[in-house]
Amino acid sequence: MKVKVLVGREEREVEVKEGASVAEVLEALGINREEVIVKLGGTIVTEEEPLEEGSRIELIRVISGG
Amino acid sequence: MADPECSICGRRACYLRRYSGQRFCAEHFVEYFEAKVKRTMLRYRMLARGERIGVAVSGGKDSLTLLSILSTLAPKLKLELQAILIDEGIAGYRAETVERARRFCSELGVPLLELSFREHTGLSLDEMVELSRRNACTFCGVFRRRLLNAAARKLGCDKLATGHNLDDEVQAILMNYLRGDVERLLRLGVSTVSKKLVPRIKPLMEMPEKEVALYALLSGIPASFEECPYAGDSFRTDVRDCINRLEEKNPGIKFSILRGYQKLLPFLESHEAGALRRCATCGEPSSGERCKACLLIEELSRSASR
Ligand code: SF4
Ligand SMILES: [Zn+2]
Ligand SMILES: [Zn+2]
Repeated sequence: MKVKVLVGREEREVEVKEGASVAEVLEALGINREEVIVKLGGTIVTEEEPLEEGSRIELIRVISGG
Repeated sequence: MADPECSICGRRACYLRRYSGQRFCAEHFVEYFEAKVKRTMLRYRMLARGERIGVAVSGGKDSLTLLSILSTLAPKLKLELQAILIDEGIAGYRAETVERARRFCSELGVPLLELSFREHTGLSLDEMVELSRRNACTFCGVFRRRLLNAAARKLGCDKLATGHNLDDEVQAILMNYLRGDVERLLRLGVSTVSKKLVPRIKPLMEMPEKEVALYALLSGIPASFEECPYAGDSFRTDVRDCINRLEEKNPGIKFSILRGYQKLLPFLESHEAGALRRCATCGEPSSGERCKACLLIEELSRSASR
């Protein structure tokens, strides 16, 4: 299935297996879960949250470095 | 798979604390976070009744979260808060965070003192970087520490609180190990190095960076999530990536690193390098004959006159 991932202003589409969780999407993108907070439909969710075909998640980077 | 639920109330979870297996809804996460910060402050005896606390603020999530939590404790503990902001002079980044810090301080009714690198060293951080091949973070760290301490002392603060979180601490510990810098390693963990330095407290030192960010988002703290333009190219970034990879596979390893370091501290304290003198040039606390800030200023003025 395909899910959409919004990072900053950039939107990407990722192919993951049916019923994949947020964690699996992050893994596919090579993004460390320690470094992002994930929103699904405007609500903050855990990395265990199951996704569906066409789900759109938003990533907020938590690293400020300064 | 069922939707992840809060371990306390069963509502939908927004955070999985992997190192303990607990899940939290927004409300219970905020409650947990505040309780844990308070516990940390008690455990390390960071605050005493009636003290004047200098709070270093930058406008980022860590410092504004710190200020917010301290301001809720202030009436009960009769604390007098004084925010201190250092403007390093980073074009396209600092102006916005400074504005956020100002607004939040006035919202909370905390007085704010602003200082800049430019007025105290003659150069902004951007100008220093242009003159030198050194990493921006070297100048930034040395001068920021210097200005904060001087301001806190002048304002008569009993303590200087900074927003360092668990990730910051663990990165600093490993960086000092990797460089073999035993002296800095020691200074990281003790709040009172010398009478010349205002004792430092780090109330967020046991909170992972992600938890601080989540708290700031959930409690509507008007923090900036922008990244400093100089953040990418430092040694710290490599160390951070490395630690986060380890944490992902071994949840809780950040705490192990901190605990291991705390066990080492008593041994480090017997190390003579911990002693501080006064800088022969400016009189500020220094580990060598002249302080790092003075050495850097001299180096910069040599480059400038070339
Ligand atoms: S990333 Fe470096 S230059 Fe930027 S604020 Fe942090 S220490 Fe200063
Ligand atoms: Zn709950
Ligand atoms: Zn000096």
